[in-house]
Amino acid sequence: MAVNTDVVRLKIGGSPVLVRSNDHGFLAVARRSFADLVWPLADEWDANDSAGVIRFDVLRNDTPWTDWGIWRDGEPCEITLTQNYVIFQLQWELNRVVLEGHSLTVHAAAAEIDGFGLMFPGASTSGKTTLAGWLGVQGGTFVADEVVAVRPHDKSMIPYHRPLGLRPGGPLEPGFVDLAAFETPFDGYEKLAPMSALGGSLSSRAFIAIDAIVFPQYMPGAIAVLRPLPKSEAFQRICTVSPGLAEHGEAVFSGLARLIRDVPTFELVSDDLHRALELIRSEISNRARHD
Amino acid sequence: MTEPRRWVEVDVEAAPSITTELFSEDEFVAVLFDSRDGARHQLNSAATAVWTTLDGSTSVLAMVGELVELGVAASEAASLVDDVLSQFWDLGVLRGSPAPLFGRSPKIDTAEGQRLPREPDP
Repeated sequence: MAVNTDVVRLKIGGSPVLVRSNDHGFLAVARRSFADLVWPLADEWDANDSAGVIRFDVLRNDTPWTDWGIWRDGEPCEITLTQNYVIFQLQWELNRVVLEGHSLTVHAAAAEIDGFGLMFPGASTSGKTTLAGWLGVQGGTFVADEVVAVRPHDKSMIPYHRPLGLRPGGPLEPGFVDLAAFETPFDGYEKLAPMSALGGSLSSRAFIAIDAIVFPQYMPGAIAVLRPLPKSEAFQRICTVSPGLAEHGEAVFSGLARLIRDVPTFELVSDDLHRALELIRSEISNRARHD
Repeated sequence: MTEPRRWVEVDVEAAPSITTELFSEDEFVAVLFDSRDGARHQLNSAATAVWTTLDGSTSVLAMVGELVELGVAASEAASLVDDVLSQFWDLGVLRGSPAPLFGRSPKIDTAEGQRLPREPDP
């Protein structure tokens, strides 16, 4: 099948990534959804021949029925995808590029507010994406979602400006995000919304210091509280959301332990984003006074 | 029926596959990582106190003595050490103990309910 020469160039965890497709509609949606990951200097590398470029081919097949496939550097990733899942599978493959490039990674979101770098580790539906997105449009900057790669030697995180995965009825939707604006023919159970299209700010530095680790817990009806989390508990929690632990073992285990020991750890229970932001700002203010 | 292990007669130490991280913020807690299967085990303070003596040169009697020094009643210390070591053996975290089955759920809070009255000395 011929591959269209039209491409989307992305920068994923420092690696150049090329997305090609035989479907113009898909490329237009990919270009819009991954707008915050677009390689800033597209002229600097050749689309077809550059060494180190990771190539994804997203191909639509209409015979005998319509389905989609994703190939990475010629190797199939998934080859029988439905249209409402193909962009989410590509998003997952991009996450995988970040995971492959760094051993110490955390399933987390991250943001910076008032010059304070915050990591929000947690399982799905814990509220980490919502918090990072909220901070990004409330005067802070969005750093990452889904995968946070950590540099253990200086306890900093590497930005990954993937689009937020927003679900209908989620906390950001009422009065803040018009999800209809992000509708595409490729929608699934959530919609991919780049932070820049939400009016938020993106971190511009290559590395962001981790000043606190906050474990969010979205709990409808709960009184919002931000409380210190004992180190052993924080360590157990971050281990459960560290994809590199199984593969890299001891190095990641000890790296996470050093991170948890050296960085303040908190638990944030909330269902109110305004109150959550107040609590975070209050804690930052207290720490600034004591430092 | 298997004869109960007589810990007092053997030298015990951690399996080489185990990495230990210690936390002493509120209470003394060890978290173990077994590189053979990726299992993690969080120990309570009593189990942690025993674990930190597993250097291959501290005798089981000396472990009992250390627990007594930490405030555990002499009448309970020996059985506590025996119980904790048996659980360590079952977890596969001692040198010579059977390797854990791959994918076995990590066992949390070994010797649950056994807590030291104070933190051990550094």
